[in-house]
Amino acid sequence: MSDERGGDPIFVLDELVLVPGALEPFLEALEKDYRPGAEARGQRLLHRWVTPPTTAGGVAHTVVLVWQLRGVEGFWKMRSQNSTPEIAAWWADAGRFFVSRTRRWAAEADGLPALDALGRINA
Amino acid sequence: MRRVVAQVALREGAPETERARVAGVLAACAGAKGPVSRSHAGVHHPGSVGGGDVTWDLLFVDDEAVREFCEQAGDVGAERLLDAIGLEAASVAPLVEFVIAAIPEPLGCEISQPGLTGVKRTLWLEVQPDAPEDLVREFEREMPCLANAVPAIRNWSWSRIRTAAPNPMTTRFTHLWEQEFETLDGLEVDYMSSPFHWGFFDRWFDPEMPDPIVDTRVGHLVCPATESVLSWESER
Repeated sequence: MSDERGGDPIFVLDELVLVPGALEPFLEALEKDYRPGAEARGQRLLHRWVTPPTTAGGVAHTVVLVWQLRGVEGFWKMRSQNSTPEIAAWWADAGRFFVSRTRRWAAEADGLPALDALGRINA
Repeated sequence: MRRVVAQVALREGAPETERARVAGVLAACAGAKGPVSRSHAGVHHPGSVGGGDVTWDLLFVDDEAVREFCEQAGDVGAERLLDAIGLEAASVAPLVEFVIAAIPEPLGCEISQPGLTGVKRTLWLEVQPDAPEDLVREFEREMPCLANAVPAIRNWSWSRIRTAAPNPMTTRFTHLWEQEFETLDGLEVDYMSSPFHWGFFDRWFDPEMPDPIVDTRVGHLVCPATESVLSWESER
């Protein structure tokens, strides 16, 4: 489903390179302290991908979190709510679990022309 | 000639109708004998946040006039400030809580529609003092790409706020991103929906990103534009 404001879903890709041994406590903290608030802001957690896909050998993991938002309106709804001290404190505290992270935005490849067109309605 | 951009806040409790009166008086302050050669003032659209009630654009005859204006504006002395502008401006001083004025030092500017009437949006932003210099330069280089991605931005100016003389006024804001649109839809639909905006450029602003450099307390100020103030300097 899409509407003129871009109702097609858009995705948040969080990629976190964890310190060795941090996978379990990170996922626990994520579920307890971040996910409920994120979902209340409209971010639906679709995937918690882990690589390498093993807990053997004490490897350092990278976690990819895939979140979904309800289009462009969902994006701005989320952005209108994420400038809080509590969220800043979560990311500051979660820093003990990872050595680096990125956050990127994504959409289905076939949907890019329609998304670009949204910025050119009144061209 | 020197352009100045100001945000004007009315005292708490000032009646809604007074905003338009103040804007009208400020807009009329340009005169042949005074220091101001052009003036435009517009009451902020209800969606505006973080910067008073009126956006006031001025063009001064010379730097000395600007210096005098900024010294008084920085004093929260709205009354003195408006006295200095002269004419009827002083009559609205009791309604004014503060004026924040800035001199834009353009990093880039493009005027494709000098005769525009429509909407002006001014984004007052503060790059955090501890932001790495290389990221600040990248941010400054990238902003004009946003205008390329959103053709509804007819005219734009991207500036650092002057900190050297003649600009004795200090403000925490560091940059001004000014755009003129033909319609409010250009801003509220095209600009806000552009995937270049939300899907790429917003990373400088989003506090959940790993390296945002812009303070979240921005001034997002939208007002009617009865003329293109961004064209003033190119008309000289």
